[in-house]
Amino acid sequence: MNKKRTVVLGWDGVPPSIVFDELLDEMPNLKELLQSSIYGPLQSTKPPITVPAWMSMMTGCDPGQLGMYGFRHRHPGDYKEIWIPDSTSIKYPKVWDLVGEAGGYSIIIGVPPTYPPQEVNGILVSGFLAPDTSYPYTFPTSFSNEITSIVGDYKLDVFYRTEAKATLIADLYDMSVKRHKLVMHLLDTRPWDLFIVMEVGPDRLHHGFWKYFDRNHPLYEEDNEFRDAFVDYYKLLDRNLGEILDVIPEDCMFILASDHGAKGRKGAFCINQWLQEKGLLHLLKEPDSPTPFEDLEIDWKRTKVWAWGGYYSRIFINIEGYERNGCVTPEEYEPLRSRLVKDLKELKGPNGEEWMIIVDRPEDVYEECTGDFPDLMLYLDDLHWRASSMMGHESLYFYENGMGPDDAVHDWYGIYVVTPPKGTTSRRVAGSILDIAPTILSHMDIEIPAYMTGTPIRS
Amino acid sequence: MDICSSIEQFGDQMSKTKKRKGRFTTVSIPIPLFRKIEEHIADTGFTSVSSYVTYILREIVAGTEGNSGGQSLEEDQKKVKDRLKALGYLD
Repeated sequence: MNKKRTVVLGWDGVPPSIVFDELLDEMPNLKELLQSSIYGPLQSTKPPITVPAWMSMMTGCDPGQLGMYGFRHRHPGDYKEIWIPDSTSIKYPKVWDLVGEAGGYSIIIGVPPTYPPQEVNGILVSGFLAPDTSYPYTFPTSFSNEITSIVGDYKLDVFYRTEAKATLIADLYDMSVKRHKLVMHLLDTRPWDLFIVMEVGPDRLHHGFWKYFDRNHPLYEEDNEFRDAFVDYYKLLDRNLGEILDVIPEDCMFILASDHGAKGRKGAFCINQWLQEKGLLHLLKEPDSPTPFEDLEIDWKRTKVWAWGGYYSRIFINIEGYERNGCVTPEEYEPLRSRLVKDLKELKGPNGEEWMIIVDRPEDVYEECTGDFPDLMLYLDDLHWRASSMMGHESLYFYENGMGPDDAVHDWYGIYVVTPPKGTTSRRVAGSILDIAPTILSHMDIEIPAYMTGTPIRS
Repeated sequence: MDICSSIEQFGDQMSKTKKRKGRFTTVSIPIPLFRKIEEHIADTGFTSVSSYVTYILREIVAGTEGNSGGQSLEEDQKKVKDRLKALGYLD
């Protein structure tokens, strides 16, 4: 392996508006870094969700190629059974696999999904999709002992759907400080050609504290006690960034990237209740209170369409030949999809507000569609509104559902900063999440596989 | 066009390297077989030859495959699933 090394620092869910504009003066290390970097908004995957976005970044493949459309997938032909993607679900090599084939050492921390930890030429520490640290979450397995000896009780994640905000902010600091300590330890004590660390903290900060920061959020209050905490966490990220930049060698390319953006959540829309109103979904028994999808008694023999919620809605058509009680024939399929697209595009907010509605046919947005792809992908009000698969709400629209607060949703653009060795040029330009893997490989003189559609970001 | 050349043509179209889009594709079966299946499924729940053939082929393929495999242990999955659910990812 030659000595062209790369460090990738991942910040989960950081939007360009915060770090390139609003808080840039609070982040002196980032501000200085931008003077010698190409940087800008990084277009996320569709959907812009942590899974699949980080793996799209690390494989150079879009979600369709990966067959990964979110945190859960259907067991084909089963209406309710789901499975959660893990490291074994990724069928394309990650950049660290390609670096390993070229004889290079990699250190990987926190990238989801990397549990169960697979063999790498180096060290791997799983991310927040590991069950917890009592499970073997590192490769080699014994490395977890070294983590404990360096940082004590290592945190994979924090639980952000809580009203105990002071505890949450303390947990966030504890997690991020320890992860950074581990990073500094490894940068100093181990050989590496590729070093990747993903800090999930910013995304958790946004979900837990967005309403305290964003003056446009429906629940924003002036002079609230957590606005400073929000800003202080970004200052912590900046200090950690500065310490990393201080120790990495001059020949090293540095990349800072986030997988998606964030913005205020306005509410949730009951997509299955809407499908019921349209006569496309039928129940055997009406719920008398808000009921999760898995507990609904759906009349599958008469249901033509159903949907999942989340930051976006996956819409499934009950197709004959695919589903156990499929009732939509191949001949009906496309006309039904077209009708759905038309009707969904007419959705409006609770008071008749215009919404920016995006409805995608998967085959129109991906290189290819593999795995359990939905029939349509729906984004409500340009992502400001979540979709909920629950039924039994009094209205199609709600804000709280008793699961604990979550005041942020995702946005289409994360960030990237690419700093080549001895970089002197500064330029702000948009990039794509699919450009990151080719950028790493190109710098490290490793051939870019033909299936990667992104292009290297160069000064 | 005879049946064999028709099959060859489709076989070529369906090569593994071709990226297929959408939910359905076409395979060719001999017309006499198609007619026999039509008779066979009369008065059954199957509404078309396609749905019957899909059902049969799926049964055969399922018999040759193991579990979806490769997934981490069930207990791991449950723990992660519970956490994702609590975070609202499985809404």
